[in-house]
Amino acid sequence: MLVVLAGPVCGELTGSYSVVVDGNGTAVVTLVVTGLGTVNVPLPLDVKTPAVRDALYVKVKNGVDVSVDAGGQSTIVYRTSLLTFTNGGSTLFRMELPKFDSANVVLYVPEYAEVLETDPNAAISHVGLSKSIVWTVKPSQYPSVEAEYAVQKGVERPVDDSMLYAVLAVVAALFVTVSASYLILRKSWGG
Amino acid sequence: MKALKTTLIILAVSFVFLLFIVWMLPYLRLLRPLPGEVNVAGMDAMVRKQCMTSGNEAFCEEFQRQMDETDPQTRRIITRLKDLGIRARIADAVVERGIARWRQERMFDVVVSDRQLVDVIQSLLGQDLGDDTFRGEIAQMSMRFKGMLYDVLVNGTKSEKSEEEQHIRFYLASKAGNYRKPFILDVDDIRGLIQKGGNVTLCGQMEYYVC
Repeated sequence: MLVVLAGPVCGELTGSYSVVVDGNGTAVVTLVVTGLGTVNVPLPLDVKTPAVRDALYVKVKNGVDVSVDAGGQSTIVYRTSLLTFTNGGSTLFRMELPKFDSANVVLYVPEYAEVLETDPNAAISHVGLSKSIVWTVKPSQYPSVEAEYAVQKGVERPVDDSMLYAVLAVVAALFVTVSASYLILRKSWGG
Repeated sequence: MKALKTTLIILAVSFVFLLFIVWMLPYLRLLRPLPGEVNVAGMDAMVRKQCMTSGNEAFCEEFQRQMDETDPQTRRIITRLKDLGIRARIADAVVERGIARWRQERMFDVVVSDRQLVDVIQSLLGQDLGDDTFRGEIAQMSMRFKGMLYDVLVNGTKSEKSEEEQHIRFYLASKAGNYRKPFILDVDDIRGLIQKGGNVTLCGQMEYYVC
């Protein structure tokens, strides 16, 4: 009885994650839950209310509990910026998995990304405009999945506006200085 | 003498422009944030400010709990956040999760019967739940889920009740109408949506699009 009260029932449930990450690290996560029972889905802290289809849900302290009925398939979609961390030239992706019996995670990174490392080991494929990293794991063994990838410099990188303005200001200042110097020097040479 | 004079003028002009650049740097966000962005130094600073300005200790405590329960990488992301939109979303989520935590603790040992939950849902929707399919579904829900759902429907705020009511109505309608269909993911489409900056949601509970 205590076990039932302490945690959600999560038997015969499988989860299939599709995570699409853009060049800035923002991700749209789609989770399809198949099976029967109640599962706790931890959500990143910047997700207030996920979109849940074909299941009842309640908000809990770490995300949502989702109740999937017999033979059902439920979809949960949310957008988050907290799954990726940029460190130097590479991006680290880490996602905690619910306690499914088995989980399939497909991480779609930009096409121009170079995958450096995955934990646990993952398959890598290239479909359409995306490169994807694929895990099939048992969350009891691997409660989270991680990947590190690098985005090639100069390819679809967002321009830092402040740096652009700074460079423009310096160039403008140099131009004015050189022009003024030239005019003064020409005058002095001419005189 | 003339060459010295010219050199001095050039140096003076260069110095003036150097001063101009140094003066401009703060406004180019290279040395310090603009006055309106003084607080852009990560979530910790925001929490400190919230605690100081509003005295909302409950918020600060819940935020700290959430941070304690977060893995180190995510914690590092949160404490370095500069995007005010994301920080605002986090603040909203912290408030909601604080309420959920309080509800979980309060309902921990409260047993809600299937009958109680069915009655409150029928009362909320103003209609009979009909066949036994949904009743059977309630029967297989975990105790925690039933307790939390019941508490939201009975003791929740107006917006919580409204949100849950809408969701249950949609859920039952889609079950009854057999609207369910497999979710088809179009990665390139979603990537386009992200770049447009809109919210991706299951509007109408049927498809995703920007709202």
